[in-house]
Amino acid sequence: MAPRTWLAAVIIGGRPARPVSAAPEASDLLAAAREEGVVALVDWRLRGPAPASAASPTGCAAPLPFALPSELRDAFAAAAREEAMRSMLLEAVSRQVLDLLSGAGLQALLLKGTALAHWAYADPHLRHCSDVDLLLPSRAAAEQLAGVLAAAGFERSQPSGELVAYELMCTRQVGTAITVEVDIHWRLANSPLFADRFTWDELWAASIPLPALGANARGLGPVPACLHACVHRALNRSIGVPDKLKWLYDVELLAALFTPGDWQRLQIMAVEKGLAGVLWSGLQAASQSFGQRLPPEVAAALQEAGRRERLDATRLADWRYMQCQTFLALPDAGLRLRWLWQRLFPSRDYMQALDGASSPSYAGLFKKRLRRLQQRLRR
Amino acid sequence: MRLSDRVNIPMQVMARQVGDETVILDLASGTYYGLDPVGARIWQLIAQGRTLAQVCEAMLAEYEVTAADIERDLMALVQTLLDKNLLAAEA
Repeated sequence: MAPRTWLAAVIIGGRPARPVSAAPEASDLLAAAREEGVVALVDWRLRGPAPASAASPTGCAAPLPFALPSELRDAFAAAAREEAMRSMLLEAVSRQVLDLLSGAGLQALLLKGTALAHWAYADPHLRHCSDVDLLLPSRAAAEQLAGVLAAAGFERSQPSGELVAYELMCTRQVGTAITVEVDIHWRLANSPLFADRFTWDELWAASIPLPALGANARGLGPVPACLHACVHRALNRSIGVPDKLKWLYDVELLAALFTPGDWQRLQIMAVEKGLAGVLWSGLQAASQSFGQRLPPEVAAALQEAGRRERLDATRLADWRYMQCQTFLALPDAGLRLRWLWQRLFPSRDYMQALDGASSPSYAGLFKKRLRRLQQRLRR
Repeated sequence: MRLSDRVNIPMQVMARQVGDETVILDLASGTYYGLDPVGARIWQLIAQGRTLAQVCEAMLAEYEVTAADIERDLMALVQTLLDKNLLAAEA
């Protein structure tokens, strides 16, 4: 049994086919859990049945039918404590940013793990987050917030051209060694292929309060959050990032929460936005990992609608195809040329973020980028 | 520090339950600490605003220990947390 499959089985409270006995295998499991972003979730399940009040929507875990090596349990417990620390740090930064937002009279929605951790999961630290993601109504509002954050001690950067990623990044150091990143988006998806599928007004209207993060904290409603999780997955697939269990478990949790009415709304919204194929692909991937049974009528409708869509969701991992689709999604020649330019000649900061700080010059970074491009075109 | 005293959790300190343990984070320094299940229970009672005497009483009712033992351990833990600025003595 592959570590990933074992982890997924533990997360859903199932019974992995066999115990872990040998030390190397145990360390493989921890490494895989870190890679998949599910260390705390696995630790939570390994600790045994959760109290009724803390049960996740998928129910309490059944006790494992075998004893795990104590070193493995200890290693997961230690890693889960680190996750809890990180989660508190991000919560503190989220609260600070939300206070600054309020002070500036701006509205924002918390996205992805930042929001889901505080309402879909039994404990916030169970959802690994690497940053705080916020959606603002417009680029101007995002710029305004970035300015407010800069005045409060954050450092600002633009990761790439505005057509390549619709976001600004702000970072702040906490203590001596920890850096926290806040990503300020002005589109729900970071690609022209999906960027204009949702309007701020509709997302705001469907948003939900997140009282755990303060009176003014709001996040995407469950239906847009599920679609967003699948779009985010599609974009990751398009640049060669494999599915992570933490992303698939978001979809699994949301699907487990859905009422028949929610499924209907999800289906209608996905078809209306031309995202039926992307949604179906995400739901299927989550279902394959965690075994969620999808309502058959929704599955059939999404597959049918997906086949009629311009984007072939069976080719999400085909880089060339996805780049072409992105290019074609831009409405005019001017924008297409600008997008091409931004893709071909990104900023030094952006390339450095991709390659690590060790790369010396723009020329060196650009050479690496060209090599990567050649490899992708050869595939 | 006496049993009749009350301590509180400063604004820059956050805590989160991880199973039966508690993880405490000092936002000022970015340092985190772990409390075992007994320490976690003491933390929980302090967070409820109880005096140290009330914490002692509750612990005596929940654990099979002598009053002298629990008092000694409680005061030692509180002093450690005060030294690390994870707790503050109430005036």
